[in-house]
Amino acid sequence: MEIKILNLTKAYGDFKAVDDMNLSVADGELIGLLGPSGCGKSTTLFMLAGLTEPTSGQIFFGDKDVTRVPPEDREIGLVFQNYALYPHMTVLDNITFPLINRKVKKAEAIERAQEMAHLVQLDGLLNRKPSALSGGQQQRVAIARALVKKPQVLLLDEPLSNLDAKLRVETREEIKRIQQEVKITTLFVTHDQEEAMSISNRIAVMNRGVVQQYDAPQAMYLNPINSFVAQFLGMPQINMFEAKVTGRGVELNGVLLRTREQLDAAGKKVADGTYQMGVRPESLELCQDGFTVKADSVRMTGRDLLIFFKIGTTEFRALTHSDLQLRAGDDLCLRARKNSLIIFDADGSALVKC
Amino acid sequence: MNRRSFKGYAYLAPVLVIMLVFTAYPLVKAIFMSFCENYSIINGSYKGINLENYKDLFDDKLFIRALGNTTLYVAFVVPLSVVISLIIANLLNSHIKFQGLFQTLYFLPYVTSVIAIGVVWRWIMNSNYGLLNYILGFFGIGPIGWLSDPKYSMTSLIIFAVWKSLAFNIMIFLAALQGISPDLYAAARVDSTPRLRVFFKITVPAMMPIIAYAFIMGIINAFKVYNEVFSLFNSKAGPVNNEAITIVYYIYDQFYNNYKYGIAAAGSVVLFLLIMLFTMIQRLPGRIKAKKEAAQK
Amino acid sequence: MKSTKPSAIIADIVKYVVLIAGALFTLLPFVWMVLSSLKSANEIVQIPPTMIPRKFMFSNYAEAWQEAPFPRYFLNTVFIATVTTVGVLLTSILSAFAFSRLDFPGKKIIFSLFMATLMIPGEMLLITNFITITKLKWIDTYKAMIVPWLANVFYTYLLTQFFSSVPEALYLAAKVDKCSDLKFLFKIMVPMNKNAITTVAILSFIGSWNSFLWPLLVTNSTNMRVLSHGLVRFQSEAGTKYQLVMAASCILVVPIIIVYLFLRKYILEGMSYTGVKG
Repeated sequence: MEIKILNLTKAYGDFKAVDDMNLSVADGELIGLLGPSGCGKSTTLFMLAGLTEPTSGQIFFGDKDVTRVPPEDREIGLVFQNYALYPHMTVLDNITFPLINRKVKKAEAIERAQEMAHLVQLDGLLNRKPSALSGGQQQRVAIARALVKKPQVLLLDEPLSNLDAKLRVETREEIKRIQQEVKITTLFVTHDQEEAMSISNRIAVMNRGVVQQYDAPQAMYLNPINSFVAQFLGMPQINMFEAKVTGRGVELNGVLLRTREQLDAAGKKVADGTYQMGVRPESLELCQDGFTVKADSVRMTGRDLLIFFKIGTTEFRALTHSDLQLRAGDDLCLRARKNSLIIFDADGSALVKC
Repeated sequence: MNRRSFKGYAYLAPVLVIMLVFTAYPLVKAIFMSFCENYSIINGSYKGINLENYKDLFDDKLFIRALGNTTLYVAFVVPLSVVISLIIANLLNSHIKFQGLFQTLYFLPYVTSVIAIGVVWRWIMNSNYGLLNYILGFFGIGPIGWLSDPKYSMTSLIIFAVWKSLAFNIMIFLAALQGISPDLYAAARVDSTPRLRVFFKITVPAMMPIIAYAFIMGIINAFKVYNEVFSLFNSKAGPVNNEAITIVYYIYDQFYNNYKYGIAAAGSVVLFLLIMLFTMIQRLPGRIKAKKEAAQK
Repeated sequence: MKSTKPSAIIADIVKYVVLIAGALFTLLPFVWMVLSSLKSANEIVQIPPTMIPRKFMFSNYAEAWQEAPFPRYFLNTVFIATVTTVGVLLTSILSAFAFSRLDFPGKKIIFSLFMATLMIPGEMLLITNFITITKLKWIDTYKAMIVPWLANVFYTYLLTQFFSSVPEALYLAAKVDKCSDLKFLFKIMVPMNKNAITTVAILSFIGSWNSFLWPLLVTNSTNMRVLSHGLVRFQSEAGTKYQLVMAASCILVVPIIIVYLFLRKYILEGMSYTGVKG
């Protein structure tokens, strides 16, 4: 099922939770709605579900305008952040509940519930009460309950936020697997950029009710459209700093990060002045002919070594392979890898990458 | 009105209708009636709108006695009941054997009919064959005409009322006691604080809100006392001549037996005002606290 | 760890003495009621009184049962308490749902007014309600003893609190699952709160069973009396047959004690809500 969101707005008094949103989702896509808390991502999801009424704008499922269609008639499956399982009912009763409401015969409902339980790997747990299940299992019950009525669209609200770290990775793979098996158009809300990037076909990054960028994870990570997206994606965070563009090139406290030729080669003429810039920690690489800095501190994270240093008074982080022998106080020579320095406009939008 | 709000009212309708007919309307009507001189329930006529009923009410020695008796009743029953229940609740909350059994026994009066148990007390307090005089006889006291001698009517009523009101207080005190953090007691024990000091310095302060609540609820309920009188004195308000009359008994008597609706209504307004007063007092500490907190912000 | 100091042992003894004395004082009327109800007509007026009946006169119960129409009183009481309880549960559940889940104009004001009525002493409403019942020509009917009690602000308040604590997500999930409000209420909300609802049911039943003044006001004929009313009348009529009066008291008290013993948990819970309210 294709989804189209046209000029969707939700206002609470003067506050616009979602502001003139436009988004289209292709059939069978898995879309992550990503953003900090209060950015309007959950409001968007609830408007898609029909539980929140939009102030203006339209939502299309396929060719049908569903903007005023009540939730029960939208053919959606919805998984809540806290799963919203009915605590007094068994797993089986929870899963068959939507079917019984739709007047499906009991025998058929049970059969379909068992199929679903098998899909989400809950076999053998059907007679338990939700309280006797682990968080991950409860999550699967919620997904089974959402999918059992064969909806056209699956919506998940922060599906992983209540799980511990290890289970979170497992469960997100599980969601991806189920989604691919059922081939259902899916939107999920998350504030965790890694979660969004790892399983989404495309991500919509939202801030203050506005979609900042809507793109495939890799494209978005490499080419963030503005400083907000650049900072929101990536862990450890991108290094942001102010530097000067002069006739010599890009300068920061006497360190020449790019020559004027290199900058101009990026294809866009950048006027002289002070700019906000960003470079990701993993884009700073060791070399022979770069600039020399002193490591303030070194953190071992396992796969990587995270090095903290300063250029002038600006703090930086660089990520290197963990076999590097380096201690705090040691000097090291670095450069910013080609095509990794992003220069932002005064309004924060990306100007050029060089 | 849209569909959603219609639905809200539909769900509320049964309660709303009954409340309008049997609470809101009678409230307004009672206040109105209390100002109607010579109100007749047959055609709703009255001689005039004035304070005649209130004047009659406070001129009536019986009403003054009812007020006095009710005040006396409140003054004895409430403090006695609160103090005794506080002690019992504390004992019940300490590590004792058969705790469950004791609790079950102590709470028993809460669920039993005042009327039935009043009839039993009437028998226990019988001056000739009663158990109470028999027991007191061992100590060389009596026999006392608990229910036949007007001097003792209020005493008998108070004994019965204390017995009846203990259960509720013990219950809410016990619940409050169990809500006090055991850490406080552990800390007190480590500091080898004497038992009585623990009681007055830890338990009582922590219980202050609930004790205040018990006091106010006790007072409000005591103002409404009626069943106790009715059953103890066999459908009368005292052995000879209304020695144990209370406000509610007076109201009931005025409208049911004397057909003086206006005066009864005036009596009920006085009762309402008294109860309102105490309800306000109960809410006062919360209000002051809220104001203080608001001021601090 | 228990202390074994002599002072602690004495304190323990005092504790038990006080507790047992208090328990005896509490139990005394119940025990005396049962014992007296089993004594013979001669023994009951004997001086000094005997503690244990010489012969257990169970026939007293049969006699009391026959001397006044107690079977009829009993059925009246059971019927009124049952219908009132079922009815008040229904209205309270519906209104609690409206307050906790539905949106409609004036909701807050109506709720505040509801809570304000808790301050009104029921005794103040007696006069007008008595007049209303008379005008409706309901005197001497079951309706008169049931209908005015079919709305209860306290129960509504209690259930509203419980219903409000059910996560909103469950309600939304049910909506998505094509579940109507009424079905959600009775399939999800009610079963999830069955303890609170049971508590309300028991409190209502006991309250109705023990009610006295109102049934006394609105009934005239013997046929419509409830147990408590019947008992008071019987006490006046039976004169000095105290053993029969005690047996009649037992008929009124014992069923509720049985309910209490079996469903103690719910009653205590209910009482603690009353306490929490303050």
